[in-house]
Order: sequence, then C-alpha cells, then structure tokens
Amino acid sequence: MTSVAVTGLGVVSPIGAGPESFWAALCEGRSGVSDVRAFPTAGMRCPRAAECPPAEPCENRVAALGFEAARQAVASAGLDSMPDGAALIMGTSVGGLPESEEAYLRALKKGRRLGGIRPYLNHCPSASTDLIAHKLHQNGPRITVANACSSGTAALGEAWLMVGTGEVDCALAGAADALARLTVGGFNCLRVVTSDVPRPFDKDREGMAVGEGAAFLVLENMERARRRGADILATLEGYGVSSDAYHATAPDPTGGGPLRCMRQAMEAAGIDVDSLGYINAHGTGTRANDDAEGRALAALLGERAGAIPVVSIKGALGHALGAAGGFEAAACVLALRRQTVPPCTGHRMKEPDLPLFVPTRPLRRSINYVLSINLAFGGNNAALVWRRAP
Amino acid sequence: MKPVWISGWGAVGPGGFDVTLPQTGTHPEKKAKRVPGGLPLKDGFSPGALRWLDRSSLWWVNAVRRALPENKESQAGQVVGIGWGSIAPTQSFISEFYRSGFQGMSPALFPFTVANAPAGQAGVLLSLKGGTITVNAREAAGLAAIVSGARMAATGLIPIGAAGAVDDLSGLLHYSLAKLRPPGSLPLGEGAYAVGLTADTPPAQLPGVRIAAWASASAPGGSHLFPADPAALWSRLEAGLRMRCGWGSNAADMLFLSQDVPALEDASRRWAAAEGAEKALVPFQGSLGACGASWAGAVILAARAIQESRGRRAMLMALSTGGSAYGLALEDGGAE
Repeated sequence: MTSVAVTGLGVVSPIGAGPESFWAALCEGRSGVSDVRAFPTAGMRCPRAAECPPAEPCENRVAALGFEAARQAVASAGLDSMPDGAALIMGTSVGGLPESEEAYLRALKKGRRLGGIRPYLNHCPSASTDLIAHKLHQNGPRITVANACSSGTAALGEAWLMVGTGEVDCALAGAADALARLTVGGFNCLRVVTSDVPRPFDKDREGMAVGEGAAFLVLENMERARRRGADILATLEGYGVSSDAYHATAPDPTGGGPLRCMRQAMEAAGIDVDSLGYINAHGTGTRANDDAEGRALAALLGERAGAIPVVSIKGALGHALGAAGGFEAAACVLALRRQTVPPCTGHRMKEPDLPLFVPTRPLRRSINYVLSINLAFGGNNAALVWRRAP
Repeated sequence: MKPVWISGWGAVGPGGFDVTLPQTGTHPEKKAKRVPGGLPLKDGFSPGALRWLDRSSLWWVNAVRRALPENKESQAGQVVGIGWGSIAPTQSFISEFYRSGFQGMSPALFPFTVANAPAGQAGVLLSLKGGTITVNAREAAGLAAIVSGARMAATGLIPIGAAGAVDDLSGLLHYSLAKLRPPGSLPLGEGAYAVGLTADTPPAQLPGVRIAAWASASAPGGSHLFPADPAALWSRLEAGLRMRCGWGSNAADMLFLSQDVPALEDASRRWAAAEGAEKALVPFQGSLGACGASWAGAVILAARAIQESRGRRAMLMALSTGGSAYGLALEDGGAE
C-alpha cells in the first residue's frame, strides 16, 4: 500500500459548519442536541436530536448536506474541481429517506394515490451520492456504502484501499445523513434515546440522540499530494472491518467484534497500543453499546487503559448514523493537526466497570496516531488509524 | 495484491436456487421475474431465529450459505449489494407510524429498515465474523459489490467471503420503477445471488475461476437516468479492465452489458458489434430480470460457463441510473 495523505476537509454539523467552527465547538464542549424541530413529535418518548441549519435547496437533504461538505473539502485541498478520474465514496445510512417517507405519508393520506415518483427513487442511498457527483462533475469510480452506523468509516476505508493500491490517485470520501421520522422514531421505539444529552461512557448514561450532517475528506496518493504542493493534514494508515455475528441491533456484549476490527486496523498501520495518542470511540451513550465497546477497548488497551484517552464526540453531535464516521474522521484529523484531544462532551462520572480514561476537557499532548471505530446494527464494525502528517 | 478466486455460488431467484439461461430465445416475457413461492428457504434454521426475517434477508442468507464452504464460514466476510434498498420493510414501518403515530412503531420491524439488514442477518444466522459491508448501486449493485469484494479480498481485508446482491420488488418499488421505465424495457427482477471469494490459494474445485481485473467509472447525467452515452462508459471500463488484466482486444468470449431499457439494449448491440464481439454478448437480463442483484447472477453464469469449459474469459460491464459503472473480468484459472 502506498501512503495516503489527507489534503482537504469539509464539515457541516449541528455545532458548526466548516472545520474551524466545528473544532472550536468540539473543544468548548458544546452540544448540538436539543428538542427536535424538523417535524412534529407528538407521542414520541424522547424527542431529542442534533440538527443542522437548513441546507441549500436540493432534491434531497442528505445530498444538500453532503454537497456542502464535499465542496468545502475540495476547496480546502486547493483544488479547483474534482480531479479527472477521482473517486467519490460516500457513506450514508438513510439516504433520501426524509423525502421518501414524506412522500409515502402523503400517499397514505390520499388513499394511495402516489403522486410523483422521484421521492421514492431518492430512497436509494446511492441517489444522494449521484446528486453530489453530478454537482461536482465527478467521473471516476463511485461507491455508496450503506453500512448503517459504520457507513462513514467504511467509506473512508474503501477509499484508503483504492488510493493505497493505486486504483485511483485521489478520492473524495466521507459521509452524510439527515434526520427522518423513521430513524428518530425507530430509536425511540427501541427505548435507547436520552431525554437529556448523550453522556458516553458515563455512569449515569441513559441513551443516545440521533444527529445529522456531513463531513468529507480529500485523500490523495502521497506522491501526488507532495508533487502539487498540497498541505498534508494527516495520513490514513489502516482499516479494519469485522462482524459480531450476534444480533440484529444489540452489540456482542463481549466486545469481540469491535476488538477484532481495531486490531486489524492497527496491524495494517503497523502500530501497537503504545503508539496511540487517543481513541475516538463509537460511544453512543447507550448502556449496551458503551458496555460492549468499553470491554473491547479495555481488552485492546490492557495496562494502558487508564493512560490513553478514549473520547466519543456523540455528546456534542448526537449520533449522526452513517455520517458519524465522517464527523469522527474530521475530529481525528483536526486533533492530529492541533495536537489536542477533544473532550468527551456530556461525560461527567466515570463508569466504575470500565477502566477507561475519558477526558472532559481538551488535552494538549503529543499525538502521533489516532484510532477511530464505529459499531453498527447487525454488528458491522469498522475502524481506521490516522497518523500525524509527516 | 493477492489473486482472487470464485470458490462457489448461491442463488435465490426466478429460477429458484438455480441460475440458468433458456436454451432458445432470450426474453419473450415482459412480466417481472419474481422469486417463486414454495422454496425451502427456512430449512436448517430454528423457527425462532427466522421469526422476524424480511424477504431480502431470508433470500440473502440462503444465497450466502450455498456460496460459502461450510468449514470456512466463521472467518468469512460479506460484501452485500443492494439495488433498491430496504424499501418494503421501510414502507411497513412508515405505515405503522401513519396508523398509530410514534407510539405504534414496532421495535421488531425497525432493524429491517436499515440497508445492511441482510448482511447483519446473514452474519448472525451463519456465524460470519469477517469484515462486512453493504454497498448500494441501484441497477449495477451486484457487480459493484463483487468489485468491492474482490478489492477487499485482494488486499487481505477479507481473505474469504461472499459477495453479491439482493433486491426485493415488493411494495411501491415495483410501481415506481414500472412507471419510470420506457415501453419495451426488459422485465424487472428480484432475488439474491452470491459468489464465494477466496484470496491467494485457488479453491479445491478445478478449473478455478479467477477474477482477472476490475474497474469502475462514472458519467454525469440525470440522477435517476441511465448515462446518455453508455458506449463511452463501456469503452472506458474495457480499457481499464484490459490494462489491468493484460488481455488483447476481443479476448473475452462472453460479454455481459446492461440492457435494462431499449436505448441500452440498442447501444449494447452496437457497441459489441463495433468491437467485433456481437456473438459474445449474453442477454441474461431477460431471464434473471433487470435489477441490481441480477448482475451478481451474471457473474455466476459466467463463472459456471468457465468452470464447465463453455468459455474461458468473460467481461461484465454494468451501468446504473445516476451514472455509475462497474466492470469485472473473469478467466479460467489456467489461462495464460
């Protein structure tokens, strides 16, 4: 594998648009979680979510959020446009669901007179990727990863494979998702949504909150990036994937699946736990996720568990489902750039059963590598290793 | 990069568990190609395990368990393509909301609204613990997934696994697609098709079928339309495939091209004729139906033909609405 450089970054989030305001809000410990405004919530158990401001008009909201983040990333890489033959790889869990559910509800109200077809066609996750691609005049390989909550991380991993093996020189990779009744209501019916803000790895955590937004990164072959004089923000060094083979929604309580994919990513990067500056955890703030993931992290870190910071940014951003991996990639790159570990917003009290070091304030320290992981429905886990720019 | 081999296959489609083309004619029927009822899809599973399984998941689980060697299952990964996504369970879930509000939403149904539900269910029911991803590429989903699977296998990310796709025509999807498709389009299809992939060592059965190369590209155009110039995309893919596998021109004796709608069918025949490959063109979509999953069925057809010495090299190039295109080259493991 050739070295893969990160040369561009774009973010649209509930706590700020653009990498600078996103990072500032993360380090301030600001949370974007509040009462749902996107649709009426009568009868919903915990109507809490993290919402972005309205996006530019577009055929679907995921594409609108994604395009804005993608545009920022291309511009910040110093590129006038998508390079010829560059790949576009997007992770999304819901795709055009906000529009298709709206259309289907309208149809039900009218007694199944279905009206226009386009909202239903938008239901396919790749429709959002295609809309972004057309706006960017992209003509290279295109992949839409629909891996539920690990979509963004897996999309970046697939981009790493493509750039690292020389299949393409450059890839725009990231993730986007938007709030929908089905997802906010769905997590509510599973009774895993908090009435407060998510408190990852906290003793008193009571659940997650759905979020939305988008983040994209430009990944380039290192030689190409250097040749054109690009500012190298970080490098992507390893990717791991695994399956729990346990349950449709609940994680394997032993944490075996996440542990395997973290080890695979670290092996690909050629590092051990002593190299890690911090770990960006999935950390949804639900009891089941944080218990299982906490066990995997404790097993991975061993004696270093009390020394290597473990941070989830879902207290700040909510759980943006497929987009979560995009946000977390952006946070890892910015942390390596600023040599600062962001705080675990929402976390107050250590969980006695989890021997983890969870910082509640930004930590300035030397960071050479960051490991980031996402767990998903179906036990489809994915992990990435990021490195400080050379 | 390690060599990648096709080690097996499994299907749940219009032909039941088999994937074949008719001996004569191509696709006289225009009715959608549906999965027949009465298949023993639940055999070998405990009834409780399948209680809530949706059709897509049940079909995918059955395709995968036939595609993988039994003693390798626990290490195996999956790359699942979905053509149209989880639209049927999603509509059921939204209907629950319409009838009873947020309080009426069923926690049993919600997990099946997620696009990776078939992958998750196969992982649970077949104890597949290798890396698993789900990709979506509408009409080209099956080939997109096998291309991603080949990449993941060649780089050692999933040394063994199953790759393919699943599509379910239930619900509004059939209505939407039927409305959108011009007269004379090939019948729509549904089902699940998976191939087993193994990296490094050829599988036990000989002659092995090797994935010689893969390529992908895209073209601008309408977000819900097929590319306006399919020939240009096929030419780009073919050039990419030939560059990677070192084949000369006209080396493939089987050529699979998208023919979903009349314009594509015409373009495919013209492109094949211009390449001197008209006789190699395999019109599979009339039998399997036009859908993302059937492209994984095409890979099975090509691999079986190579295994049975009815051909030595196959080139498959799929286009999707929205403009994505994927190509795969297969060859006899003994080919120079």
